[in-house]
Amino acid sequence: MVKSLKPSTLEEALKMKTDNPDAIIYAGGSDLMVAKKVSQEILFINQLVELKEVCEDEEFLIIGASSIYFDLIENPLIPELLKQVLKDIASPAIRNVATIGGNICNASPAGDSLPALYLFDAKIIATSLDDNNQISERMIPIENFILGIRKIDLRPNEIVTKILLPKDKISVTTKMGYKKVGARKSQAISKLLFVAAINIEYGSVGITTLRRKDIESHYIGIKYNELLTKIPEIIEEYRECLHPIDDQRSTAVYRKKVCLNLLEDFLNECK
Amino acid sequence: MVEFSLNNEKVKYSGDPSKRLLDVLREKFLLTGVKEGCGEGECGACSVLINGRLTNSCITAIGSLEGTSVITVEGFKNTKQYQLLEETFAKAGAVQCGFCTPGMIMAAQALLLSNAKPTQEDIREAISGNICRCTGYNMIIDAIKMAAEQGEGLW
Repeated sequence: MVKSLKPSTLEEALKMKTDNPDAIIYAGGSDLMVAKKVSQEILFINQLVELKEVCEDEEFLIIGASSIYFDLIENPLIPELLKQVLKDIASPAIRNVATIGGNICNASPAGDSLPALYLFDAKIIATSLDDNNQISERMIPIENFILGIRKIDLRPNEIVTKILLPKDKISVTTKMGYKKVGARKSQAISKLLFVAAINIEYGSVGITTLRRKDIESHYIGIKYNELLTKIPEIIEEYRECLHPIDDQRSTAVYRKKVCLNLLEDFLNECK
Repeated sequence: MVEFSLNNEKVKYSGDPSKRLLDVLREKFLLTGVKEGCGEGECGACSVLINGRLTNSCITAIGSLEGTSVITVEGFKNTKQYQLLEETFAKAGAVQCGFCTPGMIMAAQALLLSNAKPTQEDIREAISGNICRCTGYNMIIDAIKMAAEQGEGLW
């Protein structure tokens, strides 16, 4: 029978993970229970309140990894763009259990919270116990943490405990665009998800998990009127680097076309 | 071993912690109001309230429930709120085959607990994770609206 590990503190959870490196971590369960992953041990972290805290320090907005979508949507500290994304995920019953850390660690190409987190330059905190049983934290930029489809840079003795959003990133993102394209409004897994932000001062533009800071850098600092004239050029730059796939939810041709149309609309409307 | 409250009674479960709450409810506690439609959190036929929040019991591991309160449609049945919902569902013709109905009732309850005067859009949003293949939804929306209007002070 599967063994249940039920820590009452984070420290206990880290100890258990060190002793049971193969244990599957259960936060909300909404992906895990569908994937029906099996292991000898399940580490339940859903009851740890310390992983559900949202607070801020000088530099970062700090989101507990087990924070539930519903609670984040209600929390005034959470940036509006992230709230909009979370509100459109699945259904009320899923949003009542699913966690942001879970969405990151599941590392699905259709993980809806990911584009917004890339846009905010989110950092992932992976926590473990060191050789002296002291809590040790590793900070990893989200684009380095997610290595590929369902592949993440998390060691067997680590648990993702926090997601940090740099406050300067949140405050400069004055104009934001977001559009989820799915088969229906609720419950649909995204065909594609577009998130963009432009700051009129810096003119930076970002797109989904494909984020090209090199393209953004060409347009940093330009005035909006000038940006308008450069729209065709920007579209071309993104056309070259977008390589979506065909799958059961949509086609590459459709995805690419819609991505570029959304970008064009966004740039035209973000005055 | 997991201890939690089920329909306001303390219960214990000592089996496999990875078992779905849905199966434990139906097989061990013989509460068959929860239905299995899709088994992956898409259809809402297995909806229950956990600590007052709507949850799909098919994607909830029993081992995660320590100290929580689970209410199924059976536990909700002997309340005035349920009786009114039953009445308005009947009046509006919101039940055809009935498979989605326990889940719909729980979704309606979850909505009305947090919002006693929902708009039509609020109702649509609240049942957006509950699939009905018979009614076309409008009758269910009417039934919930009716319950909200007649349920002055109940929620």
